[in-house]
Amino acid sequence: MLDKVSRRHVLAGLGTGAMAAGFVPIAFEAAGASHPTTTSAPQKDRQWAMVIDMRKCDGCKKCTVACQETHHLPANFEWIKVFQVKDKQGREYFMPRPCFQCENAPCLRVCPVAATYRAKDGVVLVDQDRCIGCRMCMAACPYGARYFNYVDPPVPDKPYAKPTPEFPVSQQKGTVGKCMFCVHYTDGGKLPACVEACNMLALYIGDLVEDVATNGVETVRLSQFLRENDAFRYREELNTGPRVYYIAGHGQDLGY
Amino acid sequence: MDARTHELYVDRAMRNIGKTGVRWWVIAAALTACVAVGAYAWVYQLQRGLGVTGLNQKVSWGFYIINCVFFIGISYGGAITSAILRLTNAKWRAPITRLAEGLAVVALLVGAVYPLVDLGRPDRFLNLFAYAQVGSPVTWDWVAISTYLVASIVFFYLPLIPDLAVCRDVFGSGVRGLRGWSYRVLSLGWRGTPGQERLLLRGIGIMAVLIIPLAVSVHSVLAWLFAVTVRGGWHSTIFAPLFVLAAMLSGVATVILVIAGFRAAYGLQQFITQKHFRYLSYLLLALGSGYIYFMVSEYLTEGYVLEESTGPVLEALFVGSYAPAFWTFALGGLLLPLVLVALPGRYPIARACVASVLVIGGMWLKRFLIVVPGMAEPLMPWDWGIYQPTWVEIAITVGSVAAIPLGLMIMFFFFPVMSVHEMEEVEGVSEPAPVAAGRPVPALAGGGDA
Amino acid sequence: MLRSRRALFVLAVILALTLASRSDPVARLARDLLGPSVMLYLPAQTAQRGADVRPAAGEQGAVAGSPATAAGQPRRPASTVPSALAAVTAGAAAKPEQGYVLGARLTTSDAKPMNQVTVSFYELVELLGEREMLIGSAMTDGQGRASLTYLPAVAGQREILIRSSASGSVAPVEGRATFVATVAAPAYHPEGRPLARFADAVPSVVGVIVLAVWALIGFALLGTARGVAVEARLATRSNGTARGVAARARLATKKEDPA
Repeated sequence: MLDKVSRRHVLAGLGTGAMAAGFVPIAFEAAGASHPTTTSAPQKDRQWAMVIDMRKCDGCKKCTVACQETHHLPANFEWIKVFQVKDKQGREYFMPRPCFQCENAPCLRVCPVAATYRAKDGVVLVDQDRCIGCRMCMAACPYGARYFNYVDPPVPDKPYAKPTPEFPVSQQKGTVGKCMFCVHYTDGGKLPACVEACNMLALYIGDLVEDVATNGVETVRLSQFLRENDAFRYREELNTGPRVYYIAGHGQDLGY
Repeated sequence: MDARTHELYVDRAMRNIGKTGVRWWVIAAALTACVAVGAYAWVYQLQRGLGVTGLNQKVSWGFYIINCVFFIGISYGGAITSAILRLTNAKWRAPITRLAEGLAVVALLVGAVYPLVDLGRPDRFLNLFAYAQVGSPVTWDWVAISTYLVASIVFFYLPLIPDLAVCRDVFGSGVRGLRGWSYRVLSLGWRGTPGQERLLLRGIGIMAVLIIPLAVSVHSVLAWLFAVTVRGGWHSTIFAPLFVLAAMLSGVATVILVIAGFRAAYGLQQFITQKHFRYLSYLLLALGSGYIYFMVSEYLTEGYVLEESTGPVLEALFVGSYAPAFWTFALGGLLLPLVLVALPGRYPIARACVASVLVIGGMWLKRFLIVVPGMAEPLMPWDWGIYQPTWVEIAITVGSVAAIPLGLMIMFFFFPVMSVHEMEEVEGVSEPAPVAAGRPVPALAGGGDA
Repeated sequence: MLRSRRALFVLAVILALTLASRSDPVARLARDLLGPSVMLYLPAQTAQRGADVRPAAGEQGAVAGSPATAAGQPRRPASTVPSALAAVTAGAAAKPEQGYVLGARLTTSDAKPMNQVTVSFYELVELLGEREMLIGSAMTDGQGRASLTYLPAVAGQREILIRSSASGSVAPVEGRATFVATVAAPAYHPEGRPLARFADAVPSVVGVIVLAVWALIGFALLGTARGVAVEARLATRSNGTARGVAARARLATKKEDPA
């Protein structure tokens, strides 16, 4: 008798377990719960893009420093990183690389929890409250634009409100951070930190919808500017659809 | 197999259940110490974050991902020896299936822990379920691994039912506690009736067929973690078959080592014979040759064209900074062991074991050579990344390697080390009719088949 | 006598203001402090009546649905040499898809057309601040007209600003116009992904397959377990497997022998 009762319990338990486990895949359908928007919605329908005029960049890295100061980043976090490139002809030039906010972003596709997502204005954001730190996005990003918080990030000297994806200060340990075109500034009508800081006026922030870009001093018609200066995108063949355009200046290899 | 041998088989299978000796305790203690060091290292990492590892912004995947692939690959030994040999009706499989299936479960449990160890925020792992994204390889990963784990456990358990019944009957009420409970309850009242046999064979048959595509899916999914990115050396269409074959190879090699170890320790020489090692060696040879073929295909295709992203990786592997590791793997971990088992000669068991050790080491090295150069190769105009694993990663690796024999020792403290039922199935011997209660059991010094 | 001194004083103030107003910062300061009304008192300010509200001959006419307003506001007055006046217009182009023709007509204050003056056309946009976006430039012809075809990227109210370059002794001048654009060429074309529509079906397909596999595993385990248990109940009268019973007896016998 005891035999039978325990058997029944075992069977019931196993059955429930198997059934419950079988419903795990239904979690697929619960995917993609929307991210709360925390900043005021911008008034216009924007699609942010950047243009980087490598004719003017002198490699001073003031953009990198400004970004690090604005977001209280450690020294090895270069959300906009200035590469010193020597091309095949031996000419040297500087190439600043922010996150390209790709339209067809690999990092977006591979995130298992949708912690990285694309906002309405085309900027790719990271919700550090949801990120589990698997670093699959870092493996997938072809441009090395993502940075993982292996250690505790520096504590800002002034207190900030709770970090949001638009302004992830301070960063959270064990999660990934990256350039977000300073949407926390642009939503409020300010220039991104790097664009503001560039002395050479080499960095332009622009809107694809209104077809305009500015470096803070000079404002250009974006499509015309790109066309006239033979602007290109880095590693276009990867088909990620980057939103950052480069203007080559020193005869460097354009890749096509 | 005559009756006497059959009895001997049953006895040997049951002999070490519930028994420990000095030697058992010494080995268990040493293994437990290693596991404890690994566990301490993991706790250390949980407190301080992943900064204690050698991972950095360029090389953001390292030992943990390598080990995940490696240990899950080892679990394939169970899928092959148990499922494939069953489906191909290879009669020699019977004494080794229990060991192989047990290895599969233990290795899988160890391997499945690694993604958790690798997470930056393991406290948020439930997000994987709450916000699951179907397009992500990491989602495919946890779905496939969890399904395969459950299937492996079921596939281990089903053929164990009749053996648990034998344990229940042999030990009777002399066993209390967990063991006693498991024999009584988990044997589900097995009596050996024809009806039960039929049901069991049906269940095992379903699992045997199911576990092969599941196993293939698990390693394919692990391969796609890498192959769906655009990194050099990763973005290769052959990755999924390559990983599956590598897993089978390392699995068979580990099975060889495990059965050699338990054969020596539990005195199973009469049943796990040279024939088993020779056949498993042939399997090793076939899988190894297939793996060489896949590797040649991949390197030839990539090397002939030398695209911008793959060229530097190949260069680093063949003649660059990773060349010592690569050639050690290719020659010492792949070519040499295959030659060792291919050549006819004496000491087949020793040769098979040496070859297996080389293959297992080589396979770990190959996973390293897939993950690290792929991560270190510059995507942008900067230098190659550098990866220097710290004591934390090494300790966790050592702990997990030790956990496998420890897990097996504990497992075969509870369960028979050879499958009695499967031997009967292979030999075509049916279970004798149930003995009716109340009738005196015939005294038997040698006659068991009524 | 006192009255004449007061008058002198007033004249001096007016003279000072006249001289001062020629300097940009002072004029700006005055404007900022005192508001538009001050403009009326500054001699440099010329009347707005030079503004042309009709589209010039040769152009197609005003944009449908909106009057082309023009407001020429020379901000920096020229010297006593004739200053420039700018009249800015915007009209629809010959073909609607070409957009709009922006025109600027420069004349000196004594109604002479200004020839060979470079006119830069800007659109006033709001991009992180009020900015002037350079659209293009054109040279005035013998009649002082310069024009530029412009297809805006966004429909709606557009504000155009022109600036002329200095020409001889005539200082640069600005002019503005607003118009409502109904034709626009969107510059942003999001790329479509091939096979994107299949992506929507994938979660369902994958979910079904995974559920089916789990169901099969569940059946293999539970079906077998339940069947075995049921059969066991039917054979309650047995002691156990014969194999097991026999083995137990054997082991019992063995225990009695010395190992």
